[in-house]
Amino acid sequence: MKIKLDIENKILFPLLVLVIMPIIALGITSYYSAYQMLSERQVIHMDEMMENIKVIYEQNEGSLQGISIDEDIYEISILLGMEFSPGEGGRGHVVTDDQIISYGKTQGNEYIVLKYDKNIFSRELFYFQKNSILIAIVSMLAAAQIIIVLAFNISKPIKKLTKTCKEIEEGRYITFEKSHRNDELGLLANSFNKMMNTINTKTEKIEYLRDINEKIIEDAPIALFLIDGSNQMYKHNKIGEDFMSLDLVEKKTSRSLEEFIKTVDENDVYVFEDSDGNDLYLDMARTVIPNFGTIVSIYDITKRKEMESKMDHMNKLSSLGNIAASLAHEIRNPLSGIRAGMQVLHKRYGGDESSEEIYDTLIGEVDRLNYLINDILNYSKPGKPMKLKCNYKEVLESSFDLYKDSMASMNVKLEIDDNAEMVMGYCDPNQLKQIFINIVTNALNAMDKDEKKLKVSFSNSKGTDGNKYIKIVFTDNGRGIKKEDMDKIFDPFFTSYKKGVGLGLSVVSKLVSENNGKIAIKSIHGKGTDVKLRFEVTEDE
Amino acid sequence: MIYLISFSIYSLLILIAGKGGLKKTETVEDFFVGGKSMKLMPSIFTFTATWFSVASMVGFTGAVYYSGYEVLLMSVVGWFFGAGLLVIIVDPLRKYDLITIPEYFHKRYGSRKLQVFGGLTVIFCYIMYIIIQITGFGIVVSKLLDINYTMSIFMVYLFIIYTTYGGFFSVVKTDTLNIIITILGVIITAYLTISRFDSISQINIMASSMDFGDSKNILEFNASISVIVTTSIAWGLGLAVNPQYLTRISSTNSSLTAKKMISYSVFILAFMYLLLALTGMGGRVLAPELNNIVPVDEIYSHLINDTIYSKLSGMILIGIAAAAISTINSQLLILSSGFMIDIIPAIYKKPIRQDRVLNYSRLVIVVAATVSLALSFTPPSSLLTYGSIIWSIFSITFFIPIYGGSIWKKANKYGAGASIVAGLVVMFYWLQKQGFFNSSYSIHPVIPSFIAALVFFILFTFIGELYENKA
Repeated sequence: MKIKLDIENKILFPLLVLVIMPIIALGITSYYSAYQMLSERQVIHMDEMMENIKVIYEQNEGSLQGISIDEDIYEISILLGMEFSPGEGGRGHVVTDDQIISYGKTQGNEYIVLKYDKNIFSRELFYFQKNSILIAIVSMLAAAQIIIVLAFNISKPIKKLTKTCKEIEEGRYITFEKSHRNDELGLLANSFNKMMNTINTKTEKIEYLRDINEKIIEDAPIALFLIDGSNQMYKHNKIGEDFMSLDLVEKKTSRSLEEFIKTVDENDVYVFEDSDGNDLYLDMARTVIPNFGTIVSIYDITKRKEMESKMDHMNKLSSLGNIAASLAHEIRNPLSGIRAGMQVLHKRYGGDESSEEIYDTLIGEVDRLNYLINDILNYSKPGKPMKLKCNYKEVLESSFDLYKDSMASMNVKLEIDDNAEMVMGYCDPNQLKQIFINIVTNALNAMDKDEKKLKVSFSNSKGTDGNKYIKIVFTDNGRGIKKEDMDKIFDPFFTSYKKGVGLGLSVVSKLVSENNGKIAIKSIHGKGTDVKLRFEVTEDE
Repeated sequence: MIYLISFSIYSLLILIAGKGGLKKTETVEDFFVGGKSMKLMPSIFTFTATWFSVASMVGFTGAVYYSGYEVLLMSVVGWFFGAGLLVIIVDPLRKYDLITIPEYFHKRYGSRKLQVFGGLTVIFCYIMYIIIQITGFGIVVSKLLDINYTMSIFMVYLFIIYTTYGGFFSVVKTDTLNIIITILGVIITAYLTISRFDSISQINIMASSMDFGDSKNILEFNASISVIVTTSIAWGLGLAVNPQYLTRISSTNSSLTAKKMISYSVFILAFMYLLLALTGMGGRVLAPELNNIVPVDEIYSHLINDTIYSKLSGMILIGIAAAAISTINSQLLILSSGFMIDIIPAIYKKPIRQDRVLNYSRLVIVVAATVSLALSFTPPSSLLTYGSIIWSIFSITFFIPIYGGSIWKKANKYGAGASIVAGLVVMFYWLQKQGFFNSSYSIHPVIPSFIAALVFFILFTFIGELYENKA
């Protein structure tokens, strides 16, 4: 059994030794003194006995008869000089470890030897001292019990304090019981308690700040990477994790994002390529934190770059539009003259069938140019809409009048689904007509199937603003628009037709907006397109 | 010399065991019922050690020597009947989560007064019972060590204070050591006795031929059937409500552990009583002369010191010491809990700090042990008879309210109170009629007292119910 030398035992054992050893020493000394005393008395007693025995022996002329001794205790014998040689002198005694021997030399040079076994008085001594031994044992027992209880009581608060400290160290326990002791241990425990309270309060504050900081880092709208002093990645936030998962490679150096972050030394915009081959523009900034390392922040500016590129494109288009508008304006007047001249020449020199065809073609082409110029002018400088009360349905019907023949020739099946009760609103009828014409033109141009369908539906709805609207939906079964072209369809000069100029939907978008309407286009490539228009309507008067 | 060496070794072992038990105690519940966390093995040890007292070892053997096997029927059968009742009460008792048994009166009946009465009963009975134990120990040890009786009882005083100081954990640790030593002591005694005969049958044949005056034949009933049956029932009822056993039910970690504890302990005890009965019978044959010269409680010490003395007798001596200490320390602890948990809160209304309760409880232990020691200077005439009277008080006061309250939902404090008063009145009347310490009775006083207590319990429960409804 291994005895643990804790504080309790360190108090206990020395005290036990201090208290019990003197009791044992006292007992042994007392026993030894009594033993010595008895031994000496026994020697004296035996010497006296020997004196008497010798006298009787001499009187009996060398016979031990008549000598009365307790034979259970003493052993008497006559030994010759050669058998017994105690040393100088005719009488005396010898004390060995287990015997007391008294002797006397007779006149016949024999020795009378009287022996006594020491164990006899050892037993007697024990019997006489039994009570003393018992008192010593009981005293030791009482002393040991008191010392054990004392050591326990002294060490208990220390052990409790140690246990609590251990629990604090393990993070299991952070409060102390108030001590009711008035001694130094009580003061120590209470001071410790106060200290723990202070530590707890500060720890709570630190933990709060730590949590806030972690939250800020984690929820930051930019990617943050913490690099420690040994240039190892210490931590990164969620956006940083997203970047890491993209397997980005810096285009110039071909280094991975993690490697690049560790070595980046200049705050700049760097271009990376993801695993799909897309370019990402990352604005990187590096901040050195003393005694820690560095923080690298990355802001993805790819979208901004795209926007800037788009803006450049738009600016170019705008400039192009202005030039086109100037050109159109300059072209329209001479074109009117050309058309008028053509009509005069037609009247004057026309007549035969081939000439008629030539003149009609020429005038048709001039008209087509005129439409184109109108489109350019409408797009670049649309006239301010005249807000008149108009019937949307009637305007649409008048627009369809222009397409009656061509639709018949193309064998287009027109379907009108009229569910609208309110069809009156304020708009510019000419601009509205232009909108319808452009949408229908696009629809007809897109029709490439044998069975050509165009459906126009009217309905009313109530907006979240409480106003009432008319919704006009053009649904065709043409070739539709490719998914990748969808976000470019309102761009001027964007067209998917070889003959087109790309101004139709740009003009529609602009005019719808001028007339406080909204437009939305949905298309499935190969199946057809839905164009949804919405204009505010008023109650009929 | 052998006895002194054995005694010194035992003292050292107790010091070590007691020291180990000091450390665990933190709360009042720890101190009195070991935090109600005791596992099966320690529970069996402490239950058996508490049960097997010096009265069992010395008194029982002496009684068998004188009266033969009928003593088994009068005492052991009754005790085991009580153990059966203990198993029944395990679940209802544990439901109330008790630290002391008088707490049951408060928690079940809502009566502080009954709880205080229970506490006082525990203190009175246990002081008396501790006196019996100290006396028994003193008689045997003074005889064996050939020392003064006063000195020998002072020795037990030292042991009991030390082993109780650390509370229940300390008691359990020392009980474990004590019961092992006691069992060894009993086995050695039986071995030394039986080995002097050819067979156990020979003991019985020879013992039955001995003519001991009143006790003519060991296999026949010397007492009347009514005496045997009623005494046995009285012992059983007393054991079934004795707080030293009920507390051990509370201290276990589960009801199952408590039931197993009682069941397994009964087997160990049965074995020990059998060995002691054989020792008594063997002693009757080996030393018939003791019949006329020594009182019943000194038969055992005479047997081991003279008749069957050997080098192993030292082990028997410390077995007796262990039996005495293991019972006394448990009783002292319960006595202290009766004062600190049942009485003090009713008098001193303010809550007392836990560390102070623990210190005061220790003080109560020292005071109670000292009082018992002082009262033990004049020992009672016969241990078993005296013990029977004290146990009777428990059977009269505690049995009906505890068992009745557990099985009868209607039971109330009026019924419980009335049963206690009626039972005590009838018992003291009966005892006064037959003489307080006169063991020659035809019906044990517990029986009429118990019937009176039961009648009043039922009657006053209904009266109390009517009174409350009217109020």
